[in-house]
Amino acid sequence: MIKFFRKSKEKKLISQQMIIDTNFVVVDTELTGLNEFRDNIIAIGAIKMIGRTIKIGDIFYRTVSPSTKKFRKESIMIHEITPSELEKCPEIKPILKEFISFAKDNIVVGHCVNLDLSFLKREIKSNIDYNFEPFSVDTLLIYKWLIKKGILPSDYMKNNSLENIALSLGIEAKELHNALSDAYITAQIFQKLLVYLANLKILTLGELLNIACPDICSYQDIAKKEAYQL
Amino acid sequence: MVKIIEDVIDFLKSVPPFEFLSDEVINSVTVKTSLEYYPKGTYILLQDGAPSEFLYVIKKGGVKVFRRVENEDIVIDYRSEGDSFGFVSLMSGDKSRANVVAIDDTICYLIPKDIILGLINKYSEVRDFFLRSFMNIYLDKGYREEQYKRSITSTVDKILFTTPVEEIATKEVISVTENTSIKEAAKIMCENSISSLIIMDSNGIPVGIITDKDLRKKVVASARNVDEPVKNIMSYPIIKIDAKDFCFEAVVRMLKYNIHHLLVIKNGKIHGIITNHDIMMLQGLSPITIVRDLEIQQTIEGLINASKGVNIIVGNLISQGAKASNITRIITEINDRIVKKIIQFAEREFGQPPVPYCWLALGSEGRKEQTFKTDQDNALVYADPSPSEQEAVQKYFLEFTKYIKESLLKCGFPPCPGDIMASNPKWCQPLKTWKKYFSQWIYTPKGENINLSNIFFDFRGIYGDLSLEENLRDYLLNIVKDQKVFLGYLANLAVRNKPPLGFFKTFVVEKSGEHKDKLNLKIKGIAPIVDIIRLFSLEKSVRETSTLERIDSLRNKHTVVRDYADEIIYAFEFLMLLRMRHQYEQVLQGNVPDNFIDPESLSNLEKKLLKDTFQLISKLQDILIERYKLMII
Repeated sequence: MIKFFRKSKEKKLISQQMIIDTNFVVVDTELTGLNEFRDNIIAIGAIKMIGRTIKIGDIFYRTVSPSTKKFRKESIMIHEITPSELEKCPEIKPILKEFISFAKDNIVVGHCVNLDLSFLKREIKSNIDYNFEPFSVDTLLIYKWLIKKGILPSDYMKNNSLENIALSLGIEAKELHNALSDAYITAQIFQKLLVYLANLKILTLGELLNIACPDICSYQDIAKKEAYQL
Repeated sequence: MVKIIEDVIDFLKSVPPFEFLSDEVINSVTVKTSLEYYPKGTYILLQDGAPSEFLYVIKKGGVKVFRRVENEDIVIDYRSEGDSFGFVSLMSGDKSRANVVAIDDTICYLIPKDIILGLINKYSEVRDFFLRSFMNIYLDKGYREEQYKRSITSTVDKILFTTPVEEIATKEVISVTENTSIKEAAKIMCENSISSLIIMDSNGIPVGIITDKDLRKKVVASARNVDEPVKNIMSYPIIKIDAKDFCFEAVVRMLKYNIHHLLVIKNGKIHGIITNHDIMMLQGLSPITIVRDLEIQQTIEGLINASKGVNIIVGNLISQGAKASNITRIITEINDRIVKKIIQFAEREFGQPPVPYCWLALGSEGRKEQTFKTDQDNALVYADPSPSEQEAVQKYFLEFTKYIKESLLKCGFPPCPGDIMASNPKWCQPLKTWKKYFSQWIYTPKGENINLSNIFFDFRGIYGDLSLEENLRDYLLNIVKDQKVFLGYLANLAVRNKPPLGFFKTFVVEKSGEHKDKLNLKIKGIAPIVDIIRLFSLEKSVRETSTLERIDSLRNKHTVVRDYADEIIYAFEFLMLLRMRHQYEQVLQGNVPDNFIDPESLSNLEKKLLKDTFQLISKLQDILIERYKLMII
């Protein structure tokens, strides 16, 4: 309740903030699997943006040793990080601390960002006992919203994967499924989507959050599931 | 290494001036770089708007750079992937000088100002690159807007990088003490017709400067009392430059501090003042100013001085991307002017000639294809005198031509090693003798005669009674056109030098000697085209002498030219430009220009064009052999 109160108060403060002056951190994680309770983070990639500007040097990329040793064959197929590679990776605790200080006070942006956030929140809570509760923006939600508004063609509706969305917007999608590359691609998607929003005179953070904050939107679970049917 | 950084590094590595930098340095640039997306139609920079805080390097898409002047858009440039923009206002920091609009969805890497300034200070390659690419935009600031486009598209000439400041600085420095009244200072400036005055403190140390601008802005416009001391209106600190520094260093400082005057220091002492105007004068030598300058000269010495800028002009034109034919046209215009002037001096010296005469330029000068100052190739034809005056006339013209030869030498045209000059009695003859020569060469085409006809048949009248030239040309074209044997000999000469291209498409270069592994552009490329076109012109009675003009005239007259005219023109322009650029480099290094090019020094595109050119020549030679097959010996 207190948390909710704090957040809603903050929200008032930032809702008038201009998007172009806002600090964003675009995040992507690689996971051992999609089960929120059983699976773990094995890599975190993040890149900063100020408004529509992508700060190429302001990046974060760490692979971690997952607390669960159970690897799913299919996830290895996706991110190509093998268990033996991860053995050599450092522990997650200090890396989560680093990540928090990197992402601090930024609006977290991601493709199906709720999935990444739910893993991050849980890992952060259980490992370093910290409540990581950033505002977040889901690029997939903006994308779908723009389709509904008729700004993007309706046949884009079938696009859910990061790759397809990137391609539909003319963004080169290479090195997919590396957390940092995916974050970079997501950032470029976000950059273009913000231009569309600006053309619709959507310029404040409040308006953006109304469209793209997964906490507010109802169909996020569907979106998530669709997105991960790779 | 992180993949996305690596990608940016790879990209920057392929883009000048970053390509000159080490991976480490590029890496340090990359981590400060941002990526920005501009949808088509976005105005990225606005004319007279805020200065750019970044160097924009285009990753994808393209932009148009243009200025709006009196309701008219002047397109300055289109830039695309790998090009950059925003440099000039970034450097000067006052305002953006042009509009930059995305003409396509465009993605740019934005490199912050401080990073670029750091690179410029540290790496001369970076500095040179940006100076060359952008500096004229700054330098023409004082010029009228209409001239904007012309100078903005040109690049800074090498001269900025080779001329020490002291060479062009104003030596005389006039200074006053800081307590001198504004009125007094202005009076001193007027009396000495200078645009700036150095202000000294009581210890004789320069502390500031006042310029016309200060008087305008801080005195007249703000109605300041002219009895106030100059120190109240002076600009300070005064920026200095060493006398030995090259002029581009001066440009950098003017730009950095947004000023137009620098104090020149030599051995710790004040040596002079250099202004942006001095620098504009240095590089602003235009063909027009040279021609005008030549026109008013009354002495050989004056001509020598006035003609000094020719090489600079050629360099300017080359770096401005002028076509070779335009450059040679300008050079011809200037050189003709020098020759005419000298002949006029000779007339003044020896009195009016006893009979009408015409000065003839031969060889490349006759074809208007001269590049840098080359050997004298000339002759003189005079109206047939009566037998009684023959001897006196001959004597007059020999003295006359000797004077011209020596004067040309003084102006930088060395004598012809083969003595094909009007000063040689053999080549200073009345019309009837010339006709005899021509008919001899044509009717008995052997050995030396063929070579002579190749040189002399490109004759062009430069000065004097041009009807003599016309008369001689009528005669030549009339007797030559059906002389199949003679033309066969010329054809033979034109195919003698096979283009240096083997079946394996590799260059055949000089095998030994000083020019080992080099390619003789003149003999292997330019001469065959010139020879073939001359041959066709004689066949078809074309009066023009320049190769390109001959091609144009032959378009409707000669089937081979009709089919290949555009290709030949393109090839010829290309070869001439390659040679000119090569020779200009040599001139800059103080060497004697030659025709030997190192194929390895060419870019891939140039290599490809050169191969195409040689294939064309080879094709033309095959056609020639086919047409004249009975004649080829």
